[in-house]
Amino acid sequence: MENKYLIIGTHGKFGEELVKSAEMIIGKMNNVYVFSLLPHMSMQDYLIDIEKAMVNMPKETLCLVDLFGGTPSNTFAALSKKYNNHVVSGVNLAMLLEVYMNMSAMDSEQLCTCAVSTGKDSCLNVIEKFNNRI
Amino acid sequence: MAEIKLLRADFRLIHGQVITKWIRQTTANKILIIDDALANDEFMSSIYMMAAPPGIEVLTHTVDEACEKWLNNGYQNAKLFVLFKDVDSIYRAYKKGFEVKDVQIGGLGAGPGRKVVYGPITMDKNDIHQLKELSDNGVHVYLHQVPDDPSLEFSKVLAKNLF
Repeated sequence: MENKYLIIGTHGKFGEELVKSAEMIIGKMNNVYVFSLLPHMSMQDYLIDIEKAMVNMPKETLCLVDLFGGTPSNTFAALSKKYNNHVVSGVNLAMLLEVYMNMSAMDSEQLCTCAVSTGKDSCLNVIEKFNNRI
Repeated sequence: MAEIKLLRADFRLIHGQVITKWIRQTTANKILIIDDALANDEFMSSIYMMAAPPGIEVLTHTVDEACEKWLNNGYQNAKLFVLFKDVDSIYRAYKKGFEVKDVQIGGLGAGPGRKVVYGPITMDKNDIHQLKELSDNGVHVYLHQVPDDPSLEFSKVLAKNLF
Protein backbone atom coordinates (compact mmCIF):
# COMPACT_ATOMS: atom_id res chain seq x y z
CA MET A 1 0.00 0.00 0.00
CA GLU A 2 1.14 3.52 -0.77
CA ASN A 3 2.45 5.42 2.23
CA LYS A 4 0.15 8.07 3.61
CA TYR A 5 1.41 11.39 4.86
CA LEU A 6 0.06 14.11 7.04
CA ILE A 7 1.14 17.72 6.78
CA ILE A 8 0.84 20.46 9.39
CA GLY A 9 1.34 24.15 8.61
CA THR A 10 1.30 26.85 11.27
CA HIS A 11 2.37 30.37 12.20
CA GLY A 12 5.71 29.88 13.96
CA LYS A 13 6.69 26.59 15.56
CA PHE A 14 3.27 25.81 16.98
CA GLY A 15 2.99 22.81 14.64
CA GLU A 16 6.41 21.41 15.60
CA GLU A 17 5.53 21.65 19.28
CA LEU A 18 2.10 20.20 18.63
CA VAL A 19 3.72 17.09 17.18
CA LYS A 20 6.01 16.83 20.22
CA SER A 21 2.98 17.08 22.49
CA ALA A 22 1.13 14.43 20.50
CA GLU A 23 4.17 12.16 20.73
CA MET A 24 3.99 12.47 24.55
CA ILE A 25 0.64 10.77 24.28
CA ILE A 26 0.94 8.24 21.47
CA GLY A 27 4.67 7.87 20.99
CA LYS A 28 6.76 8.49 17.89
CA MET A 29 4.77 9.60 14.85
CA ASN A 30 5.82 8.75 11.32
CA ASN A 31 5.14 10.45 8.02
CA VAL A 32 4.05 13.69 9.64
CA TYR A 33 5.66 16.75 8.07
CA VAL A 34 5.52 20.16 9.71
CA PHE A 35 6.05 23.50 7.98
CA SER A 36 6.54 26.50 10.22
CA LEU A 37 5.92 29.92 8.74
CA LEU A 38 8.53 32.16 10.35
CA PRO A 39 8.15 35.94 10.59
CA HIS A 40 10.56 36.83 7.77
CA MET A 41 9.15 34.31 5.28
CA SER A 42 6.98 35.39 2.38
CA MET A 43 4.24 33.17 1.04
CA GLN A 44 6.53 32.33 -1.86
CA ASP A 45 9.40 31.20 0.44
CA TYR A 46 6.96 29.08 2.41
CA LEU A 47 5.39 27.57 -0.67
CA ILE A 48 8.75 26.57 -2.14
CA ASP A 49 9.71 24.69 1.05
CA ILE A 50 6.43 22.82 1.12
CA GLU A 51 6.48 21.94 -2.54
CA LYS A 52 9.88 20.26 -2.20
CA ALA A 53 8.24 17.73 0.12
CA MET A 54 4.87 17.57 -1.56
CA VAL A 55 6.14 16.50 -4.97
CA ASN A 56 7.12 13.19 -3.41
CA MET A 57 3.81 12.58 -1.69
CA PRO A 58 0.61 11.04 -3.00
CA LYS A 59 -2.08 13.45 -4.21
CA GLU A 60 -4.88 14.33 -1.81
CA THR A 61 -2.60 14.49 1.22
CA LEU A 62 -4.35 16.10 4.19
CA CYS A 63 -2.87 19.38 5.44
CA LEU A 64 -3.86 20.70 8.85
CA VAL A 65 -3.39 24.45 9.36
CA ASP A 66 -3.98 26.82 12.25
CA LEU A 67 -6.01 29.89 11.25
CA PHE A 68 -8.50 30.01 8.43
CA GLY A 69 -7.43 32.75 6.03
CA GLY A 70 -3.90 33.05 7.45
CA THR A 71 -0.82 32.61 5.27
CA PRO A 72 -0.39 28.85 5.97
CA SER A 73 -4.07 28.31 5.11
CA ASN A 74 -3.80 30.43 1.96
CA THR A 75 -0.58 28.70 0.86
CA PHE A 76 -1.96 25.17 1.18
CA ALA A 77 -5.15 26.30 -0.55
CA ALA A 78 -3.00 27.62 -3.39
CA LEU A 79 -1.12 24.32 -3.63
CA SER A 80 -4.37 22.37 -3.94
CA LYS A 81 -4.61 23.43 -7.55
CA LYS A 82 -1.56 21.34 -8.36
CA TYR A 83 -1.59 18.61 -5.70
CA ASN A 84 -5.30 18.14 -4.92
CA ASN A 85 -4.35 18.25 -1.25
CA HIS A 86 -7.05 18.75 1.36
CA VAL A 87 -6.82 21.59 3.87
CA VAL A 88 -8.52 21.74 7.26
CA SER A 89 -8.06 24.75 9.55
CA GLY A 90 -8.19 24.94 13.35
CA VAL A 91 -5.61 22.24 14.03
CA ASN A 92 -5.39 21.23 17.68
CA LEU A 93 -4.07 18.28 19.65
CA ALA A 94 -7.34 16.35 19.59
CA MET A 95 -7.64 16.73 15.84
CA LEU A 96 -4.05 15.71 15.21
CA LEU A 97 -4.29 12.59 17.39
CA GLU A 98 -7.60 11.45 15.92
CA VAL A 99 -6.49 11.99 12.33
CA TYR A 100 -3.16 10.27 12.89
CA MET A 101 -4.75 7.24 14.48
CA ASN A 102 -7.19 6.87 11.58
CA MET A 103 -4.70 7.56 8.83
CA SER A 104 -4.33 4.02 7.56
CA ALA A 105 -8.01 3.10 7.94
CA MET A 106 -9.60 6.09 6.22
CA ASP A 107 -9.37 7.60 2.77
CA SER A 108 -8.53 11.28 2.50
CA GLU A 109 -12.15 12.45 2.27
CA GLN A 110 -13.03 10.56 5.43
CA LEU A 111 -9.93 11.92 7.16
CA CYS A 112 -11.04 15.47 6.35
CA THR A 113 -14.46 14.86 7.84
CA CYS A 114 -12.82 13.26 10.87
CA ALA A 115 -10.49 16.26 11.31
CA VAL A 116 -13.32 18.82 11.17
CA SER A 117 -15.66 16.94 13.50
CA THR A 118 -12.93 16.14 16.05
CA GLY A 119 -11.79 19.76 16.02
CA LYS A 120 -15.33 21.01 16.60
CA ASP A 121 -16.14 18.44 19.27
CA SER A 122 -12.95 19.10 21.21
CA CYS A 123 -14.03 22.49 22.53
CA LEU A 124 -16.13 22.02 25.62
CA ASN A 125 -16.91 24.02 28.73
CA VAL A 126 -15.52 21.44 31.13
CA ILE A 127 -16.98 22.81 34.37
CA GLU A 128 -20.40 23.26 32.81
CA LYS A 129 -20.24 19.68 31.60
CA PHE A 130 -19.18 18.56 35.05
CA ASN A 131 -22.02 20.46 36.71
CA ASN A 132 -24.58 19.03 34.29
CA ARG A 133 -23.60 15.42 34.90
CA ILE A 134 -26.25 13.15 36.33
CA MET B 1 -15.85 59.39 -6.10
CA ALA B 2 -14.33 56.50 -4.21
CA GLU B 3 -12.61 57.14 -0.92
CA ILE B 4 -9.36 55.57 0.27
CA LYS B 5 -9.77 54.66 3.92
CA LEU B 6 -6.39 53.00 4.31
CA LEU B 7 -3.47 52.33 2.00
CA ARG B 8 -1.07 49.68 3.25
CA ALA B 9 1.99 47.76 2.09
CA ASP B 10 1.93 44.21 3.44
CA PHE B 11 3.92 41.42 1.81
CA ARG B 12 1.39 38.89 3.12
CA LEU B 13 -1.55 40.81 1.61
CA ILE B 14 -4.75 39.45 3.18
CA HIS B 15 -3.79 37.27 6.11
CA GLY B 16 -6.45 36.43 8.62
CA GLN B 17 -6.75 38.45 11.79
CA VAL B 18 -4.28 41.20 10.87
CA ILE B 19 -6.28 42.47 7.94
CA THR B 20 -9.59 41.86 9.72
CA LYS B 21 -8.33 44.04 12.57
CA TRP B 22 -7.25 46.83 10.26
CA ILE B 23 -10.44 46.82 8.26
CA ARG B 24 -12.47 47.12 11.47
CA GLN B 25 -10.52 50.31 12.28
CA THR B 26 -11.80 51.85 9.07
CA THR B 27 -15.20 52.00 7.44
CA ALA B 28 -13.88 50.43 4.25
CA ASN B 29 -16.25 48.11 2.41
CA LYS B 30 -13.89 46.82 -0.26
CA ILE B 31 -10.32 45.58 -0.31
CA LEU B 32 -8.45 46.55 -3.45
CA ILE B 33 -5.23 44.60 -3.94
CA ILE B 34 -2.97 46.28 -6.47
CA ASP B 35 -0.43 43.73 -7.63
CA ASP B 36 0.47 42.85 -11.21
CA ALA B 37 1.25 39.17 -10.60
CA LEU B 38 -1.80 38.50 -8.46
CA ALA B 39 -4.20 40.33 -10.77
CA ASN B 40 -3.10 37.98 -13.55
CA ASP B 41 -3.59 34.86 -11.40
CA GLU B 42 -7.28 34.10 -11.17
CA PHE B 43 -6.91 31.09 -8.89
CA MET B 44 -4.71 32.87 -6.36
CA SER B 45 -7.02 35.90 -6.46
CA SER B 46 -9.94 33.69 -5.50
CA ILE B 47 -7.97 32.36 -2.51
CA TYR B 48 -7.52 35.90 -1.21
CA MET B 49 -11.21 36.54 -1.81
CA MET B 50 -12.00 33.53 0.38
CA ALA B 51 -9.56 34.72 3.06
CA ALA B 52 -11.16 38.17 3.30
CA PRO B 53 -13.32 39.17 6.27
CA PRO B 54 -16.98 38.20 5.73
CA GLY B 55 -18.99 40.72 3.74
CA ILE B 56 -15.93 42.43 2.30
CA GLU B 57 -15.52 42.35 -1.45
CA VAL B 58 -11.99 41.87 -2.79
CA LEU B 59 -10.76 43.31 -6.08
CA THR B 60 -7.38 42.44 -7.58
CA HIS B 61 -6.07 44.84 -10.19
CA THR B 62 -2.75 45.52 -11.87
CA VAL B 63 -1.10 48.89 -11.27
CA ASP B 64 -2.19 50.06 -14.71
CA GLU B 65 -5.79 48.87 -14.30
CA ALA B 66 -6.10 50.44 -10.88
CA CYS B 67 -4.76 53.81 -12.03
CA GLU B 68 -7.00 53.84 -15.06
CA LYS B 69 -10.04 53.00 -12.95
CA TRP B 70 -9.13 55.53 -10.28
CA LEU B 71 -8.73 58.34 -12.80
CA ASN B 72 -12.02 57.48 -14.51
CA ASN B 73 -14.08 57.11 -11.34
CA GLY B 74 -14.25 53.35 -11.92
CA TYR B 75 -14.44 52.63 -8.20
CA GLN B 76 -17.56 54.79 -7.91
CA ASN B 77 -18.54 55.27 -4.27
CA ALA B 78 -16.46 52.47 -2.77
CA LYS B 79 -14.69 52.96 0.52
CA LEU B 80 -11.42 51.27 -0.22
CA PHE B 81 -8.80 49.51 1.82
CA VAL B 82 -5.93 49.42 -0.67
CA LEU B 83 -3.26 46.75 -0.25
CA PHE B 84 0.09 46.48 -1.99
CA LYS B 85 2.72 43.76 -1.67
CA ASP B 86 5.68 46.11 -2.01
CA VAL B 87 6.79 49.72 -2.09
CA ASP B 88 7.62 49.65 -5.78
CA SER B 89 3.96 49.00 -6.71
CA ILE B 90 2.86 51.94 -4.57
CA TYR B 91 5.48 54.13 -6.20
CA ARG B 92 4.42 53.12 -9.71
CA ALA B 93 0.73 53.63 -8.88
CA TYR B 94 1.52 57.07 -7.46
CA LYS B 95 3.44 58.03 -10.60
CA LYS B 96 0.52 56.96 -12.77
CA GLY B 97 -2.03 59.03 -10.92
CA PHE B 98 -3.44 56.79 -8.19
CA GLU B 99 -4.35 58.79 -5.09
CA VAL B 100 -1.63 58.30 -2.48
CA LYS B 101 -1.99 60.59 0.52
CA ASP B 102 -1.03 58.29 3.36
CA VAL B 103 1.09 55.15 3.17
CA GLN B 104 1.07 52.62 5.96
CA ILE B 105 3.99 50.21 5.86
CA GLY B 106 2.88 46.99 7.55
CA GLY B 107 5.49 44.46 6.52
CA LEU B 108 7.82 44.03 3.59
CA GLY B 109 9.34 40.61 4.25
CA ALA B 110 13.02 39.74 4.26
CA GLY B 111 15.62 39.28 1.58
CA PRO B 112 19.08 40.25 0.47
CA GLY B 113 19.84 43.94 0.98
CA ARG B 114 16.98 44.42 3.44
CA LYS B 115 17.58 45.86 6.89
CA VAL B 116 15.29 45.87 9.90
CA VAL B 117 14.03 49.40 10.40
CA TYR B 118 11.27 49.04 13.01
CA GLY B 119 10.05 45.92 14.83
CA PRO B 120 9.78 43.20 12.19
CA ILE B 121 9.59 45.73 9.31
CA THR B 122 12.49 45.79 6.85
CA MET B 123 13.44 48.11 4.00
CA ASP B 124 16.05 48.17 1.29
CA LYS B 125 17.76 51.07 -0.44
CA ASN B 126 15.13 51.28 -3.14
CA ASP B 127 12.23 51.33 -0.64
CA ILE B 128 13.89 54.19 1.22
CA HIS B 129 14.57 56.07 -1.99
CA GLN B 130 11.02 55.72 -3.33
CA LEU B 131 9.34 56.45 0.00
CA LYS B 132 11.54 59.50 0.48
CA GLU B 133 10.38 60.86 -2.86
CA LEU B 134 6.73 60.34 -1.84
CA SER B 135 7.39 61.90 1.52
CA ASP B 136 9.15 64.90 -0.05
CA ASN B 137 6.05 65.40 -2.19
CA GLY B 138 3.80 65.63 0.83
CA VAL B 139 2.68 61.99 1.20
CA HIS B 140 2.42 60.92 4.84
CA VAL B 141 4.45 57.71 5.24
CA TYR B 142 4.41 55.75 8.49
CA LEU B 143 5.20 52.25 9.75
CA HIS B 144 2.52 50.33 11.61
CA GLN B 145 2.29 46.56 11.82
CA VAL B 146 -0.77 45.88 14.01
CA PRO B 147 -3.29 48.39 15.39
CA ASP B 148 -2.42 47.73 19.04
CA ASP B 149 1.27 48.55 18.57
CA PRO B 150 2.61 52.10 18.25
CA SER B 151 3.42 53.47 14.81
CA LEU B 152 6.58 55.21 13.65
CA GLU B 153 6.93 58.10 11.23
CA PHE B 154 9.03 57.38 8.15
CA SER B 155 11.08 60.52 8.89
CA LYS B 156 12.40 58.72 11.99
CA VAL B 157 13.63 55.88 9.77
CA LEU B 158 15.33 58.34 7.44
CA ALA B 159 17.05 59.95 10.41
CA LYS B 160 18.67 56.63 11.25
CA ASN B 161 20.71 56.83 8.02
CA LEU B 162 20.77 53.06 7.59
CA PHE B 163 21.76 53.10 3.94
